[in-house]
Amino acid sequence: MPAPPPETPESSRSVAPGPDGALAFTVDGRELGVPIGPVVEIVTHRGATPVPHARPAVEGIMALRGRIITVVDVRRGLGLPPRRPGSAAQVIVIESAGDHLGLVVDSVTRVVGQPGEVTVLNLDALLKEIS
Amino acid sequence: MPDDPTERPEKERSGRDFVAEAEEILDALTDDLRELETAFSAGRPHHELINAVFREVHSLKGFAGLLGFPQIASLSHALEDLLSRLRLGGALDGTVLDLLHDTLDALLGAVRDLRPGAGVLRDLGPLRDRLRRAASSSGVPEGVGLEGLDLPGSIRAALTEHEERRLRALRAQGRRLSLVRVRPHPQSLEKHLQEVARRIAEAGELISTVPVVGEEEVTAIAFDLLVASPRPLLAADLPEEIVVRIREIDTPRAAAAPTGGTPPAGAPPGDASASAAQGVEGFEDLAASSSPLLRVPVRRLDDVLVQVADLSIAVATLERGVRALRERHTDDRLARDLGLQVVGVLKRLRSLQRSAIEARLVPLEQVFRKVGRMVARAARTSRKEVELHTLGAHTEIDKSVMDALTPPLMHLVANALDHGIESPEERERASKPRRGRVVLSAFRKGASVVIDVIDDGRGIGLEGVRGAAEARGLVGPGHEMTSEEAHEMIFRPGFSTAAMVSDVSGRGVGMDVVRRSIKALKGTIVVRSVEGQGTTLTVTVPISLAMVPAIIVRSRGQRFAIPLASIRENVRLDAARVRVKDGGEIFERPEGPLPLLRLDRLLGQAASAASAMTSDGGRYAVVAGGEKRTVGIVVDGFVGRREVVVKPIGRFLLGEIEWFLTGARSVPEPDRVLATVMFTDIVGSTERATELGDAAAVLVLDPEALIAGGGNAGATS
Repeated sequence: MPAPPPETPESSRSVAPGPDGALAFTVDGRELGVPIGPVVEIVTHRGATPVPHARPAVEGIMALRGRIITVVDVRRGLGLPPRRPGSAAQVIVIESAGDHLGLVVDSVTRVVGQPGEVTVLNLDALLKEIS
Repeated sequence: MPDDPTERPEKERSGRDFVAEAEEILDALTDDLRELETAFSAGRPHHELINAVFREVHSLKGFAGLLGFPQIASLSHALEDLLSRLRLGGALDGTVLDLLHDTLDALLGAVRDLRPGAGVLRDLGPLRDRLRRAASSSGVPEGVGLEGLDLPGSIRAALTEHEERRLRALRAQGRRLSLVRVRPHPQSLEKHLQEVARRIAEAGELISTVPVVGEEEVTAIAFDLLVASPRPLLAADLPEEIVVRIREIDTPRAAAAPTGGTPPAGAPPGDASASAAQGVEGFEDLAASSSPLLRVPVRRLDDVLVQVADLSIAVATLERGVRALRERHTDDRLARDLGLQVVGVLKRLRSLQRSAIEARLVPLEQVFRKVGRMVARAARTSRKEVELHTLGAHTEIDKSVMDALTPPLMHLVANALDHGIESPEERERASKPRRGRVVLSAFRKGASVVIDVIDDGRGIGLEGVRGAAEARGLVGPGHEMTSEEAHEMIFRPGFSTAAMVSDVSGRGVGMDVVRRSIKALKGTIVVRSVEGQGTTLTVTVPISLAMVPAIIVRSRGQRFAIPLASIRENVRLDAARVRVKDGGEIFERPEGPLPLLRLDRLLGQAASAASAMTSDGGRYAVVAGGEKRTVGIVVDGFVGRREVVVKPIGRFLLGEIEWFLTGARSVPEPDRVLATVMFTDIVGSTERATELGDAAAVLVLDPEALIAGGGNAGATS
């Protein structure tokens, strides 16, 4: 069974889902969430252009609706084993202070209304991790 | 509803409208004032120019009054007063011209202050008082009376105060006065009236155009034109098909003596109606100013462009799918037809993209005008005599490129004035014309615009540059400097020679800043200079950042874009002529050894550094860099030339790039960040996205940053 999740950026203590709830998704068989507020859209993962010298969690960049989105692999960010090549994945696009970030997850499952139903990623910690 | 919440935005909107409108008027005013100055100094007639300036100031006043900008309205009004004195024959001289320029500058400043976020409104009071004093002291020759003039009462009543004064003044000058009855065709009324006005302007002066009321049948439209001319007006002077008759209404008076300031007896009968007519003039001007142009916020055009680019990526994906389908079902007619359809859609999409790009193009005229204003001001305040020539002002460029280009261009021209052009005395000693020349020329070259800033000044002094470089420890003592080196040197940060420190500007001369802003536009700047003869700075920028010409290269299966402007040449490497020296590779070629850097290593793509390049032939190199350090960047192949859309990469990846370039994870300096943004800019879409396959996002590389960063990141490690 899956190993216990690492300390950061995943954190169940610091961020509870806001009144708007969280978007739940799965990675490597476990369910996690992101605050739903900054989520812009969810798209199918079609690969990303690698960026030289980027942090390991950064898969690369992709163009979406004329914008450039920094794509972060949540598995890599959490130190989980990589996805099987060819398996489907989705990208949760979130906006942070005008820039766009895409989180690669195995699949988006549901919207959670109640706090505590799912472990929510600390986005601030995640951002610190990649930049 | 005094507390209507929509009132504020409404007011802000009208403010924006006013600023846009006023800037347009002031631009035209700038041009006409410049022409007026030229005509005046050349002793050419300039009455029409004064009229043009007057009309522009008048509509500015109308706008300012209507949209609620009393300060500007009142200054325009005072200026209009002074101009109307000039129209009536008041003396134009250098002082008045200076005052006109000052007022124009103040109006420009005042309008700028209205932009959101600008500072406090300046006080225009003192200038207004100067205008009033000038207007009251400007001697207007007193006109003569109108007695003995065969002028029908209805026409006389229709004359405005100005027209009547003009009539008196022209009569006093002994001009022939005629009434011309024209009957323009109702369908081409405007055109006919313009044509007749133009012809009259060649023969004399049109004082007034008065519609004929009551005399003709109801259906016909006729006008009486009151014309003053130095010789009797002939039918041949006018377009005969619409002229009904020409009637002279006055025999010239033998050098009519001024009547000594005696006001004409009794108030002119037309006065009341004339001033009433003037009251609504502002509205008429507004109606007349409706043009076939539509003002659109740039933001909306940006959106269109973004959506078109996005659509072209989607269609390119579709095209790829259809192509795969056709390959699988070669005999299927449906698949073939579908393929043709998609190709047709792509073609139309490309033309739509071109239109979206073109919608954002504006003529360079606006920048040239600003530069012209600056040159005129600088020439008036310095002891220098300079004339500015502009060529190709109609050349079009993207609005955002133009906006970003304006400051560096102003800087270059200011430099040419301050450091290039010598004082009149110095020029005479060098047997040059006293008056210096600055030429600003622009032309389109493919997807780029080339702008030359040429001056015939003293040029870049090799000795001066060498001395300054030595003093700063940039070169060793006694270093033999080539002119290329010297020209490169002036772009170094903080570099300025004693000879270049301006007595006018006092700026430390930021040629490095200029180059950086131009590079941020994916452009280049090249300097050519002959000591004693002048300097030419050539700025090349893409017409639009939506289509930067670039070479797409391949490295380890990944595609990268390199802006064409930063590439000197492309070479094919011959493995036999590549040798290893000091841990680096050198390509021996007839014109000299070319140091090589391998792109895959620069980008950290290389699996192992052991794979010697010499083992796999058929590689290519992109030659880039400055005069001093030219380097070949080794790539696996060229995909081709494309026009690419450039997007900023976003802040998340900046830190990585910073580390790559400097070898340290420091707080990014603003300067470096600028360079890094360039390195990491992204191609969002390309003209032929299909050929780039899935990778719709491609990194744009800045070879100079790569070369500079190569040492830090250890390209040879």
